[in-house]
Amino acid sequence: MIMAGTVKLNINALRVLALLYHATDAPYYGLTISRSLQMGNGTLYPILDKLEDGGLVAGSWEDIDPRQEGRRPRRYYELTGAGVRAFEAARQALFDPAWGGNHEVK
Amino acid sequence: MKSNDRLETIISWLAHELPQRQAVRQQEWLAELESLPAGLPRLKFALGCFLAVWKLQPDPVARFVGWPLRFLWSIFDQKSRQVAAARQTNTIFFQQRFDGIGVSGMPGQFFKRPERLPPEVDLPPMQFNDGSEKS
Repeated sequence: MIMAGTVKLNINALRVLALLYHATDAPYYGLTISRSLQMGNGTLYPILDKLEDGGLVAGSWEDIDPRQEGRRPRRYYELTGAGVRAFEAARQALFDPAWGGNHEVK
Repeated sequence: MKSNDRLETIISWLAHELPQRQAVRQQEWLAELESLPAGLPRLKFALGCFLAVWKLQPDPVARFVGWPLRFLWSIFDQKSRQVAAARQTNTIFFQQRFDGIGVSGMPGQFFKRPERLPPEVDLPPMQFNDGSEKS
């Protein structure tokens, strides 16, 4: 368990942070995060709640016209600055001991 | 009611049981539900929503006991409201009958109340057998 501010990051929370950290092609919403990580939505949403409460992740609504698109807008998630720093710190804390503490995060 | 509508109702209800972000999660879950194929994936999604609500409860056991109790209470409350409404209707019906406002030929006509005079009308002076009047 790694602490990021007041948020306790367990392995699933770190997986969500890692996915959003490396997200480059398309924004992720609940279902795509769930599918990418093979994680049930019963696990995912409490984690997203915790990360949003801690200010590590921010959700924003998709900007579409529901009548034109024929579906409801999705809620996309992305890391905040604090989330990026928390993930990098967690990664360093996890991997530095394995590499003798001399590994630099690029 | 279609099964999809039922699931939407269940998910909306579940979202409102969350301690926070009820409206956000409701919209989010409904959007995700409609992007899933019908059948088992939607049921699995609804079950996941239930688990999420369960995990986010500050005291899930109390909530677990509270849900069926509240469900039973809502049925009881609804029934008692119906009974009260029926009693009210019956009371009004019988009052109307015995006030003489009811259907002609019903017992109400024998119990017709005398019409009350408005207070501003001056009553005529009373006449006694000896011809004297008293106001």
